[in-house]
Amino acid sequence: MRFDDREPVNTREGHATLSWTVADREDEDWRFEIQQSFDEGFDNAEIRNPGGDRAMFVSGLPDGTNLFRIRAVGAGGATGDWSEPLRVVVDYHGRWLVLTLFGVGCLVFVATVVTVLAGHRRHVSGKEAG
Amino acid sequence: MDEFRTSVLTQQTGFLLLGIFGVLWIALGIYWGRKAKDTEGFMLAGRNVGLALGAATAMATWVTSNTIMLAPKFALQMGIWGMLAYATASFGLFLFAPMASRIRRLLPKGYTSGDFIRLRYGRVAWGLFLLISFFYSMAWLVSMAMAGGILLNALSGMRYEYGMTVILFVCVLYTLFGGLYAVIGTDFIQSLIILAGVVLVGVVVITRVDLGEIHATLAAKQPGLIQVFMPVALLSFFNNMFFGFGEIFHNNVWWSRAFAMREGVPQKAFLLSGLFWFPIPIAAGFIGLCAAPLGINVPDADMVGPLVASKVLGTAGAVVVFIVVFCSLASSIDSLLAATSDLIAQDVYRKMLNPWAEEAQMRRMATRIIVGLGVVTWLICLPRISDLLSVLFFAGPLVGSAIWPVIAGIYWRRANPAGAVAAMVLGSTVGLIAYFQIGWYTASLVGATVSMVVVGLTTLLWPREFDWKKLNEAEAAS
Repeated sequence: MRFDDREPVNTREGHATLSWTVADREDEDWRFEIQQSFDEGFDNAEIRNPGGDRAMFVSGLPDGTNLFRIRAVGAGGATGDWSEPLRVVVDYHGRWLVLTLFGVGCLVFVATVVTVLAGHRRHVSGKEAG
Repeated sequence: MDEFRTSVLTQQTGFLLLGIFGVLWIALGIYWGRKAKDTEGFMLAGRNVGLALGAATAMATWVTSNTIMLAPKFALQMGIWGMLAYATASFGLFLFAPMASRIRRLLPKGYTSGDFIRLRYGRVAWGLFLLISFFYSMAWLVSMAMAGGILLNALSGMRYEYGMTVILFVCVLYTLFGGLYAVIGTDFIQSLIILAGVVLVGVVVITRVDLGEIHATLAAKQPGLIQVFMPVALLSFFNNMFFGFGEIFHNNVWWSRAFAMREGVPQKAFLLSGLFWFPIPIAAGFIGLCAAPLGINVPDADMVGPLVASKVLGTAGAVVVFIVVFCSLASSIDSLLAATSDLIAQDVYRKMLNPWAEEAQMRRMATRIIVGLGVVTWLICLPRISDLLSVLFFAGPLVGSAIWPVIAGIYWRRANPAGAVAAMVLGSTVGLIAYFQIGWYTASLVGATVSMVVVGLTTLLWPREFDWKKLNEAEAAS
């Protein structure tokens, strides 16, 4: 039982798609259980249940290294071994970049609206005749 | 790899639904197509569309499969801000409302957005504008055809290739038969179905979940989605808005509607359509946020919307989702096919290659182009090259760069043609650099900003006086 990604997954957006493969008895009706944690010992782990699907999209992850591990659960409830942990490293964009671009967006938005509305006023009043 | 082992409908049901709606829409296309007696009828519905149909077609066209599938994905990836970011695309409709009435006055016999750029700025700007427009139109078409295939795969297990092919084929056929009459007529029906379906799904979902539980689950499992300072969401807020501005201000889908509407109608129609459109991505986005609280696994973020709706509502819900998405797909694919074929037929074939083309030739060329666009789209979609967002937002910096050349061209007598060209080139280039260096969620904003600065500076430093009467080509020729 292992995740398809072997190397750490790096993301600046805080989301990733986890996919996995069952090494043998692929066609059996497996269900899966995933644990998410910040520490290697998976203490206080968050449990996720993807059911019988072979992929799971995770999002809204906190900054830093998020660890995931998975195991298969057979039809009778018997559980397999946990996989090697997969590291999903979240490194969000810096505050300065975000605030700068957000501020620029505000300015360009205001300029666009003012230009269109002012132009429309002149058009309606006949000052910018067509 | 088959990631989905939990489709709600059977393949047979999927094919049956496709068959019923496909035949119905083609029949409507043939019925309304009888009204199109000439090129103007085929391309612009006789320039006589009233307020109800005008507002409905604008709203339905803007409710694309992207709205139904990307809005929930935005919410799933970027949380509340993502949902709001998607809804800002309605602002483009609001702002285009006054622009549309100006466009009608300036070009009473205009056919395309390309006509405006050619007459206002000259042939260099026109050629560049056509490239941008064509690239964007193909990106939009491809994203929607892909969405159709993905949706049917998620809902019924139907192979992606089959669903994508059938949806494209149906849309090409009824657009071929009916032109803009069929497009607008079917849009009216589709807009009613979309509104009813989204309201129904939204109401049912909200009755199945507790808002407190949603918040608690998101706080535990997806804390980034409810943060005020969610970096990628803040970056994408204005980016999505300017992408919407660029799409609407430049594309012939919207200009052809402005030309098709009766005098005095465009402004009200676009305002109304924006008002009706605004809550739809909010409702769709809310559905995306409910996935984790409802314990629904999402194997692929592209499919979160239809997946949650079908899991919550069961088979009936899956049927509703199917019908709503079919309508949103069809309403946008047909508009794109019609408007892009107009642009190529008028601007490339008639204006560049064959100025003496007669009515029958123009009609034949338009139909050939529609078929050609369908085939090219199908070939690009077949390998399912990328996820929906990256396909569409790659066009973001290009359309963002066209915002200010269009606005300045409409309202500023002294806008400089060389400045318009420079704005589109530099805006696109710098925007694409931002796309690859920072992320897709900054590219349209950067492209629009660079474009604004270039247009503003060149108009200020090198103003070029323009006679608005030159835009009335019929009058200028007489």
